Amino acid sequence: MIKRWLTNNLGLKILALGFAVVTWIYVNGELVKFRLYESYAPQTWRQH
Amino acid sequence: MNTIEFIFLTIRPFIEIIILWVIFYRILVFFEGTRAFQVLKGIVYLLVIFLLSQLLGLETLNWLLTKLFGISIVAFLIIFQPELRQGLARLGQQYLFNISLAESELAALVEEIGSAVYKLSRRQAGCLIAIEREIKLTTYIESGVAIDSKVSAEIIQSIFSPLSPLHDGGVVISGDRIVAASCLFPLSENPNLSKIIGTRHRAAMGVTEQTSAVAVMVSEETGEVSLVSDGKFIPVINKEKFSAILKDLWLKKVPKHD
Repeated sequence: MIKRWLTNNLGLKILALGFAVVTWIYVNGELVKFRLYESYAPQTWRQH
Repeated sequence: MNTIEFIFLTIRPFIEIIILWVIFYRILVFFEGTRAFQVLKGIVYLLVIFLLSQLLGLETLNWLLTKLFGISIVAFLIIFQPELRQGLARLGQQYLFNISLAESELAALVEEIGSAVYKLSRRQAGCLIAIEREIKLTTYIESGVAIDSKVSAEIIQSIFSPLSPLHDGGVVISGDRIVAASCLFPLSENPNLSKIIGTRHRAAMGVTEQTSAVAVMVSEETGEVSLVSDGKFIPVINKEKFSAILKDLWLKKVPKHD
């Protein structure tokens, strides 16, 4: 049953997985950047 | 950090990726085979260029694409308006307020439809019937002639008899009633369709693409009987197979067919 589910529409499934991984990496990269900025940037920098 | 917290933090990325995978897969399946799929491909190319420009530090390109994505929200809503409407309608009406027919009633209805369709097929009389499921077919019912009769093989045959004034267009069945005849269904805009496919086939595909209806169709040229669901033709070999598949589709099961 799992084999049938996996082989059905395999192309779209791989494409969707690719999108999911790229999106996750990109969004987490942005989040890490934001958190680093939040923790290191002094209050005076942020006002500018 | 305790063990449970550690395990959760370790598997959290996988859970997030699986959820994103399911969402992306559903979106791709929804758009597959439609004109919007080509537009979606274009958007993906732009996204790839955007990511590359960020990675390689191409600032001019990055600035242009950032501005473009800013205004593209409106363009996205306009381009995908029919698909968004369709998707939201499906989401909102899925499995809600679905008045189900009793098993015996359903078997009798399928028998009546099958009997009519195979008699029409033998006479090579064209026929198109849309069976309403979750999404209401009110718009198409209004375009036709109201009937409101019990589903019977004789009535369906009379409607699709070539001399009948109602034989053009399609019949809508809702529950155990024939609601309207001579209804105008939307034509499929699937770009992969062959040019030789006739209007009745396109209408059968169109109504099942835009709503959750199941269509029953008899080709005027070949007398071939087909069932259509989600814009896809399901081959039907004989009347027994027809009844079994139609029953499954009516109950929203995935039919097992050869």
